[in-house]
Amino acid sequence: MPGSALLVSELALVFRRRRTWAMLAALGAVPVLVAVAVRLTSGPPTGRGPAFLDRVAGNGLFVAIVGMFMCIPLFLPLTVSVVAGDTIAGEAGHGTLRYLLIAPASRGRLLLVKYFGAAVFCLAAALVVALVGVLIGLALFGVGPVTLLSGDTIPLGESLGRIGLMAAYVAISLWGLAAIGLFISTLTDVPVGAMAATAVLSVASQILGQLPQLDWLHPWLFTQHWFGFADLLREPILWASFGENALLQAGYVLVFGALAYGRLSTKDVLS
Amino acid sequence: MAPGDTGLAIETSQLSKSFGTRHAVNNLDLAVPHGSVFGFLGPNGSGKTTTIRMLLGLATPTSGSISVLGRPMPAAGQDVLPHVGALVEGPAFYPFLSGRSNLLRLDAANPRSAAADRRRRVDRALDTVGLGQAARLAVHAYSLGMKQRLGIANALATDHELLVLDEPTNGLDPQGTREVRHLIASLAGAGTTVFISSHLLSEIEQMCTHAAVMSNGNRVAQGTLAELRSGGNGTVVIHTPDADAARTVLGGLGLLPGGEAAQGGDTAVVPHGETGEEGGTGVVQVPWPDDEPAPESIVAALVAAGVRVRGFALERPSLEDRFVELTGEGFDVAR
Amino acid sequence: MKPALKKWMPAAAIPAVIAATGVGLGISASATPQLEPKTAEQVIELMAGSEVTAFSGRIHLSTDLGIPALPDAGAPASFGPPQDVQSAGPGDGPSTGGPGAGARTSAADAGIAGLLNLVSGSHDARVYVDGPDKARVQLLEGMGEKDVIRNGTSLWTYDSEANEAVHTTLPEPGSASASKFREHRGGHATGEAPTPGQLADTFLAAAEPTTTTTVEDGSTVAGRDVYNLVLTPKKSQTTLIEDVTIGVDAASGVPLAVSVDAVGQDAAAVDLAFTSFTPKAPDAKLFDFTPPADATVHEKNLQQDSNWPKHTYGQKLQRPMPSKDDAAHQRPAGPPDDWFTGTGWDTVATIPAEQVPAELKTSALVGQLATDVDGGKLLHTSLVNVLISDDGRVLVGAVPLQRLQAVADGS
Ligand SMILES: Nc1ncnc2c1ncn2[C@@H]1O[C@H](COP(=O)(O)OP(=O)(O)OP(=O)(O)O)[C@@H](O)[C@H]1O
Ligand SMILES: [Mg+2]
Repeated sequence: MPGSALLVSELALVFRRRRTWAMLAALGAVPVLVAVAVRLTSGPPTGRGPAFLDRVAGNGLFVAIVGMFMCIPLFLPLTVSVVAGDTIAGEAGHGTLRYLLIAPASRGRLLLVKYFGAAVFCLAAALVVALVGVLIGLALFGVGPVTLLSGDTIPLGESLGRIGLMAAYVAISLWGLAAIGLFISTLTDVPVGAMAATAVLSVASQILGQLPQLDWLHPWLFTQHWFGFADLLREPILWASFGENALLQAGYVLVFGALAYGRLSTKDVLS
Repeated sequence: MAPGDTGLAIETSQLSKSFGTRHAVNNLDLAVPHGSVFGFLGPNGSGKTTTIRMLLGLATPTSGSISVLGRPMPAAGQDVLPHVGALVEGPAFYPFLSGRSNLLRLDAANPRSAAADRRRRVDRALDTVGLGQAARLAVHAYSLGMKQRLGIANALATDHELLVLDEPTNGLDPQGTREVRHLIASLAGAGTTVFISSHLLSEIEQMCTHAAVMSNGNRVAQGTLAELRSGGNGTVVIHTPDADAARTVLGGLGLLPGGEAAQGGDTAVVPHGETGEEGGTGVVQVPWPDDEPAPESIVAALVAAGVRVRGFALERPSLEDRFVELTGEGFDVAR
Repeated sequence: MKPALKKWMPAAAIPAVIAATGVGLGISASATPQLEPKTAEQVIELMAGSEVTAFSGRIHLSTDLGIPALPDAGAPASFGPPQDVQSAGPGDGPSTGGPGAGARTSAADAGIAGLLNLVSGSHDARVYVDGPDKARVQLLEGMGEKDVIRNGTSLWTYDSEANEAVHTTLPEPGSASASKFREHRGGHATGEAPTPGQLADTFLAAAEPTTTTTVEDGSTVAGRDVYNLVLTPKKSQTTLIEDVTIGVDAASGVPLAVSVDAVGQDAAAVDLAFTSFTPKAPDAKLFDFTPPADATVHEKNLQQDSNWPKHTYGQKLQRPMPSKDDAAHQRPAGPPDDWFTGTGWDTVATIPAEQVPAELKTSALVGQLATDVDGGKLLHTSLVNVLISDDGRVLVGAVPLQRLQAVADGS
């Protein structure tokens, strides 16, 4: 299929960079730190910690869940901002944008491919946190059937499935942000600027989400459902938040994808 | 691709581009014939790169139209660009990828390039520019000239009908420059149209069949190389001990507009060797603006008047002289 | 059109399409369905004759009782969600991250705060019902959940944040409470079950002196067309309640929504509605509850239940949702009849001083929320007033303060 070559090349570009691996390693370090910290401090944790932290010592699978909870507000959006902010601005900064365009990769196709790379990174980042969490949990605490929020207990296999679903939820949650980053990336030739702006937006949106005065705005914030993956730990699974989140993120992807297309396809490539 | 109706590989009409209030290119009409090696000349900031960006669809013209290989640009970009290889404003690569990976990626971006022989084509292009050894080195370890060669290799990875090269020999060593010249000659021999922008006039002079000169965003000349040179003043140079007699004869032929005296350097008598005017040879130079009269009649007139002609030459201006004449002497970048 | 403009078309069109879809969905949701006209009696009959005994659905409750927000309410835990992850639709209230029992407040305060949290803001719950003796209610909170599972005579409650389960064994069906329930419902303690028509008649006859019953335009609840039965207190009634609207599913007769309007308040004081509803038997597994291996499990004996009486008349009125507390404290018998003064909407319940738990008087939170009035302290909400009289009695009613004071003085 013509065009798939560029797709493969884009994935190779993202995942052959040392920067990408450094970021994935940093993300993987979060569950490791959680597990080691819980292991070293004997006894149940006192006071308030991240949700489910008190379950970690009893079941290593919760390392993965706590890891995702800890990464979703800042670390994950940060790394996604780096990748998404770099998409077009990075190419412009290197000057390779002009060579891609005269290759010719049409501007629309280039955007799709670039977004695809960022979206796959989102998935990889979420999976790294989950997978490292499960493995370190297995090593330090052992794993077993998970007790859900509803009080029901599900077998190990299903528990792993739920963790996989949570990782998918987290990845989908980040796709809207990736689309915003893609758009910002078309606005500038300075990748660092696009990365910073995207990261700032992800934090700003979470702050807005905490202001009760802006109730009317909350359902439209892309960060609104970021923590909703706890609903996958209910019995039966509450799919509503998964669906609402997916719909919201799809809206962001469409809107900011279209904006990015408008911008990139009318922009003079002068870098 | 079939040549356009006009038989031109590139044609622009009234092409203009402004950045805000700066006019980078003004009402440019270019006509680049198929199979030509076309030199695109102009001082820094005269609008060469801007024009090339518009030709390749990277920048949208403010007004005017472009046709490349007979198709309108940028509208038909996806059909035209697979047949065009280009180097724009220097090479640009991902520093963390090897030279070869860079070329493979850019080749993969072309939906019309065959995946099956991608590696073979890229390796061949790398060999062509002499980077076979360094192909697997990360680009951040490349020297300026190596990057330039890699950029040229990129333009050569697929067989193109048109090559657009923006200052291709920038940063190359003498061998590299020579290689590029030979490369262009052989490509041109195979029927590829080559559009080269440069301000290295000697290079253009050696390679090109046609040229256009830009100044301040305006095209100030265009044509075959011979036409361009002939547009300027030739000079008649006569070596003779009878300088005064020679001048009289030349005046009679209408070649001494200022009459007798050598004013403003229009005519000059240059002492030659150690000998003085009496025994030695002087040199008389006079402008020969309109290629008239014919050289043989000048010599005949001189000999008839008893002037001892020891040497006779018609000097064409170098392209550089012509260039400076067209674009002005000033060193400062215009505007 | 200029080519550049064309490139921006998707960016203009997509938000427009999204907005149009949103507005379109909003219109179709708020559109008045075409329903066969029915009188109030017919709607009550429809409701009474409903044959749906098994269903599942999601319920949204939003309350606006005019209670000041508690400082601790809904404070997200560190790394917790920025807000209630369940609230999804536009217009959802602010988050209530769970009973925010801060470490500094006393246990009683925590109980009251929890209660207040439950009746303020907005809540989501899932309900699963299969017949009269199998039910499960899940109160959904950001990172937690409270479950009540009834299966026959076994009643479990589970609180995920405390990881605590309570097991209660209910009286056998057919015992006193069960027959009393039947008696309440139809007024026929024995004999054949009444027909829906008879039930409707009985209800209307009972309501007649105090209540005007009408049917208003239909609407859509959980995607289903409903009749809106409106109960309005007659002028003679001095009450804080403006009216009560019950949305009755036109197809099945199940009440899908209840909203209570308070006098002088625009937003509904209580709005309880299904956001999704499936009239099918839920998975039977849901009613088999085994507490988690690591949970703290309490066995509860009904007779020894010493909790202060949460199950008051006023509360029953304002919180029709079957919640943990309602179910957990289903008593064999209700409060004694001599507690009540008046009938209908302006009924006032008087709890004698000796029955009032001591914590209520000493609670700092109550002190903070109550205002001093003639004859005692007043806890005011837009639907219910609670007067803690100086002599220690507690008077509760959906009535203005003056009536509470009058009842307090008069008896
Ligand atoms: N991005 C830009 N914004 C504003 N002005 C620009 C931009 N790019 C080029 N220009 C202006 O356009 C004019 C032409 O620039 P261009 O790069 O085409 O020159 P050039 O002929 O390629 O010069 P050189 O020989 O130095 O490469 C210059 O005056 C320059 O200042
Ligand atoms: Mg240039």
